[in-house]
Amino acid sequence: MLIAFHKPYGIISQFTSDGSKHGTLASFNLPRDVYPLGRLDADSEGLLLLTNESALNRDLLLPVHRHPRTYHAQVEGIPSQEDMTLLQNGTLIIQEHVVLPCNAQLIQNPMHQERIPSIRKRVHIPDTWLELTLYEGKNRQVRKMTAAIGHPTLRLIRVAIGKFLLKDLEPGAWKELDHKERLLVFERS
Amino acid sequence: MSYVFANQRYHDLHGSEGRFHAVLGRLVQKGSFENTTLIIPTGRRQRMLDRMITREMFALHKKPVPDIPMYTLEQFAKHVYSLIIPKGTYRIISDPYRNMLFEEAMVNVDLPFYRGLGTTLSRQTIDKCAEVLYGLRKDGILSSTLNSEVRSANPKDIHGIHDIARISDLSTILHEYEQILEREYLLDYPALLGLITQAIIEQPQSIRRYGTIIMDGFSEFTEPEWLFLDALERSETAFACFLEYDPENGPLFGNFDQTFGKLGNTGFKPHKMDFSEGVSEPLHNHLRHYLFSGKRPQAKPEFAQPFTILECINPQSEVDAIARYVRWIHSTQNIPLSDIVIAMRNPEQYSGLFREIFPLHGLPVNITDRPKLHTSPVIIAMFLLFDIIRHSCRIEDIRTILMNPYISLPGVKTTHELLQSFDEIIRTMRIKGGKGLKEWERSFNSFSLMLSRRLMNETMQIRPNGDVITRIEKKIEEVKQVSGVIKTLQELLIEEHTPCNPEEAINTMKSIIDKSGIVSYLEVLSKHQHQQVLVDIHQTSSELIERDVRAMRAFFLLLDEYKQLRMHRNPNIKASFKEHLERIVSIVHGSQFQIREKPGTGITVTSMEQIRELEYSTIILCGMHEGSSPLAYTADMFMGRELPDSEERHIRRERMSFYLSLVHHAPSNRPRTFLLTYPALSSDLHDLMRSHFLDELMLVTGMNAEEDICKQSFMNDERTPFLRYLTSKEEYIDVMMKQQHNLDHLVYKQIEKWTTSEQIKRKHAPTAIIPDKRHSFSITELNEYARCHYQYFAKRILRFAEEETSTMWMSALENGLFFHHVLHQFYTSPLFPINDRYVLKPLSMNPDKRDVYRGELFRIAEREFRMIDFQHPFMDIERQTIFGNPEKGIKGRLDMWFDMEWKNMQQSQYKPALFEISFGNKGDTIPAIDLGKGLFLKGKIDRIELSDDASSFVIADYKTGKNVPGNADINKGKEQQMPLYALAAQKFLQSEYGLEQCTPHHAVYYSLHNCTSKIVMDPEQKRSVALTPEELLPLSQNYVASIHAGDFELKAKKDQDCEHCSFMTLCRIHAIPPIRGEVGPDEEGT
Repeated sequence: MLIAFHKPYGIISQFTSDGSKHGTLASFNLPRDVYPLGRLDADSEGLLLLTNESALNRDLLLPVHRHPRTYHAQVEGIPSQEDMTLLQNGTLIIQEHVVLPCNAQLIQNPMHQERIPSIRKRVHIPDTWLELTLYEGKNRQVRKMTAAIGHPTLRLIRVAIGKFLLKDLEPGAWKELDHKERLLVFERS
Repeated sequence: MSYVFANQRYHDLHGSEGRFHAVLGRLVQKGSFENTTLIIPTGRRQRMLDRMITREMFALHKKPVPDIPMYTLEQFAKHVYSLIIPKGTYRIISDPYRNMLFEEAMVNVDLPFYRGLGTTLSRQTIDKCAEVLYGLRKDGILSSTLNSEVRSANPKDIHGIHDIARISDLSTILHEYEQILEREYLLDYPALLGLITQAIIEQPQSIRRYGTIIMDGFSEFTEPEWLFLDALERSETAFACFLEYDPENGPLFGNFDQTFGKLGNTGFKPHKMDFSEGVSEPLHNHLRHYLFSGKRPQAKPEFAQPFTILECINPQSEVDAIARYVRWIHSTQNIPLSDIVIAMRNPEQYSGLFREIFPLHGLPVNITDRPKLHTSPVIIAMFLLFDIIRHSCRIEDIRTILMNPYISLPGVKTTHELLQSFDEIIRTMRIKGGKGLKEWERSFNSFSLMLSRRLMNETMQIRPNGDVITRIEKKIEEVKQVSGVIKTLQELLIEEHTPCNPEEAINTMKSIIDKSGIVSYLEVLSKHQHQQVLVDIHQTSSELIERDVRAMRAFFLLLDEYKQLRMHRNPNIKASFKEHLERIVSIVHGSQFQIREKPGTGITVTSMEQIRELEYSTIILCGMHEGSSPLAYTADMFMGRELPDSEERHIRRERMSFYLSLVHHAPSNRPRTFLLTYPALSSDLHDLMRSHFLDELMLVTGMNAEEDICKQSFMNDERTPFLRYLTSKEEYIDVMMKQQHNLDHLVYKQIEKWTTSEQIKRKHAPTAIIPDKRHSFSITELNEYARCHYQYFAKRILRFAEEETSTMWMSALENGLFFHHVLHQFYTSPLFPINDRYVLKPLSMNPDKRDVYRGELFRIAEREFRMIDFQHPFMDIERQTIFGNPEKGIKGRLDMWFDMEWKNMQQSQYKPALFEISFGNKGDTIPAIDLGKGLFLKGKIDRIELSDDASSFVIADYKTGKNVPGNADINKGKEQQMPLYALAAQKFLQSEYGLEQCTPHHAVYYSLHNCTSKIVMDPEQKRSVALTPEELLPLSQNYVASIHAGDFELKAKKDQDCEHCSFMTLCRIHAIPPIRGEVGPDEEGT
């Protein structure tokens, strides 16, 4: 069983509390035998896969497989072309780790549902949406990357794993993937 | 090699009885533990020995087994205290209470280094100081010692004190702490040991009743413990301490050599026992001799045989592999689960994973960790409530309370809508929080009052606007809901400054917890669990409930201890409730709670320390990577410099921990197997390095890293059949499906049917309805259509909401509403005659009463401003902008507007006559005006000015923004307001007011931004390009016709028109060719 779950903001990617004030996956009536494949930080939202098939862990998480994950990041300010090049080329060094090249582009507001609590917008500073496709998943990588180019992330949503898209799955909702959708998850290019 | 350190009395009584287990064996044979007391390092070992001795004694003697006098060192000290110190003299304090006393000491004294210029210390500083100072006390260091070190500090001495200011502060705190203990007759553990040590020295016969005292399993002692042992050695009681120590490899792990030397110095006579004095396993001896020696000794093949080393993908996969291994050996080798132990250096890293993943494989798990109390979800929930008091009601605290599953506030039903309303209201009201519940209440009252007045104003209108009324009513309902939450919190909680004694404070806290529904939530969960009803909690609910209940019990015990000790100390002194809370926070931060061991149920998961000297047939050590086992060494610089040998001592301790988890000293022939695992990647996919302890183990047991480390990713490895072991029927089905491809399609078809398609229904399905022929258009609608047909379609037909932006300043809408209300009230005030619908007269101002008019205008404006005066930092600036600041010579907008109005009144032939005339809206008495060709107009005219003879009129509109339209915009049809309002006004002045001959003359915009007026459509203007309303009407009529015809085609536009459009993501403007004359970047040069 492979489940796509739209993790809302403020929820940790586990079923038991980690000692913080964040909520857990236990509140979403998920099937009793599934476990998250990878993690999504409490302050990030979007697509989280859960499964009861342990082999999927290896297929999706091993860095050698370079499995793509796509994020929408709302950042403060408007990144310049040079900033975008820095993101794309994989030249950023974050905590002694040179990040791999990724696909990064500016996008129009993707019209995601309003977050609760809403992000802290600054009236006189514009914000921009970026779409980033990463092939690795270090801790808070997207946030660190956008911060490194001087545009801190205000909101981060994972919108796709492989070619499987979050689409209109509402925050807090989940669905079991059918055969075709499973294939999309594992598609890489 | 074993040693026994014993006093003369022990040697006299027992001679050389051999190693600890041989002594135990003889006691079991004798069938009595009378006159013998055992002291063991851990509770777990105590329980295990107790079970083992009980079983063996019953098997031998077939009679009830008496209680075995067995203690940990701390339990023994407390027992001795209860025996030899008169009751009621002192009170022993718990660890958390000790932390609170340290905090109290820090509050009492002057700390130039830590406190600096501030008044408060951070929680981290308090905790760290308490930890360091207690560490010093455990090592027998007193404040006097520290103080003399500070006084004699020599900066040139590299081993001396360098950070004098810091150590001086620490010394002051320690001195104050010692004073509190002494003053209040309180004892912490070092003080307890000191007290009984002194008592034993003074009365050596006082502990005779314990008979022979035997200690085993210890490797290190603190300074007060040394002194205690020294006292025992000198007492009249036989005392022996067994030490498993081999001087050959002593320096390699543990701090045996130091212990050995110190024991020798205290007067004990060491007696060396060789292996013949007890059975010992060859592997055990081999490891004791060579582990960590760096040598590759001649190893027998059977030394490597019990070990399997497995490299896993990440911690999650590691736990999954361990679960399969456990299921596999349990099923294939019939090893009972209680005979398997999983140990790790740092259980906090893994306990969560074991709790969650083991139940997925149908494995009961028996985790005995000691989580920190303040990390328990139920304690977090309780402190969320207290945080409202502590932090004066911050926004995030209220939001978290609403979202917390444990808390159910009386009369408040938390829904998604309530959270949305909460967010919306605080944004609209710009509440910052953190100023107390009363401030929230004040803000809500002010906002509610303003809304009610607006509602009243709106309903009192001759022609009230139904839409506006509905919106205000909805807002009022939302405010009511959210202020209900605040009221409930106000009733539930107590004012932070309320003075109370400890008993009253604790009773209040308990009452708050009781009323917050936390206890009843746990009761409901527990009830559901008993009835095996599926509740909204994951697989380990029973353990979660246990965890919560234990945390809660520990918390209530702490509250009771606080109450008793504080009441004992100062029953009459009252402190603020917040002060009591801060003390409780301090106590809770320093305490842990225990998830109890459940012997015989499930597989034990615990720390490496807890399995020392325990006999399990299968030992699984997980997390064997650098940083976890051994734990990473971090130099503790808190004392200003690194303590000598601390790194060496750290690594020896780590080695000891690893060594003791591999061996045990009890004689046994049972074979043991070991699975040693480590993750190659951390949870966030960082590379991890295999522990060098594993390399050391491989070196001495003849294993090879290249060949002997199995990898989880190689599923077909013959040495790891357990990785392929399937633990649930779902896995079997899955594997079967993969093997029989023909089944795939059918089965997946079935699965597709089960998937929850309902969940992906669109919430806001678009309803494409083209306005009917009788639809009344507002000016905004028509202007929107004129600006962009597609935007009109998205907003009016698809009904997508526009993106809202919030600002800390007064919004344009608020500004507009404010001025509209003020001006409307001004002209309808008693200073002016009442205009009724039959006798319409232009209003004028008496030239002699300028100040009266100005005063009335300002009075109205002040009243209106109070209604919107929320808690936001820019409000003073807004006030200054509107009312001005005579002290700074700043003229306000209101004054500027009044000057302009006064001038107009004196000079213009047109005077204001009608205000806020609404027509065509729901509830209006004037219906929509039919302007022909399907154009029915609705709207609200800000003001109509009449000529003295009522033969012509002027449409006036207030503009709050900077941009005021001109004739060009009107002629192009971008701004249709003035011509259409002029035509509409002409019609209703005829029909409603009987002004048959009254015609529009021109229109005027009054800018409230810079208080200027701009005339448009004036036929008398020089070089006028103004068209008449009649000439402009066909433009609007054509728009209406296009809308009715469904023409929403996207037209090419200039980029700047789209820059701030909310519908850009829907729109395909960039996909269509650029407008003529412009060349896009892609077409350049073609």
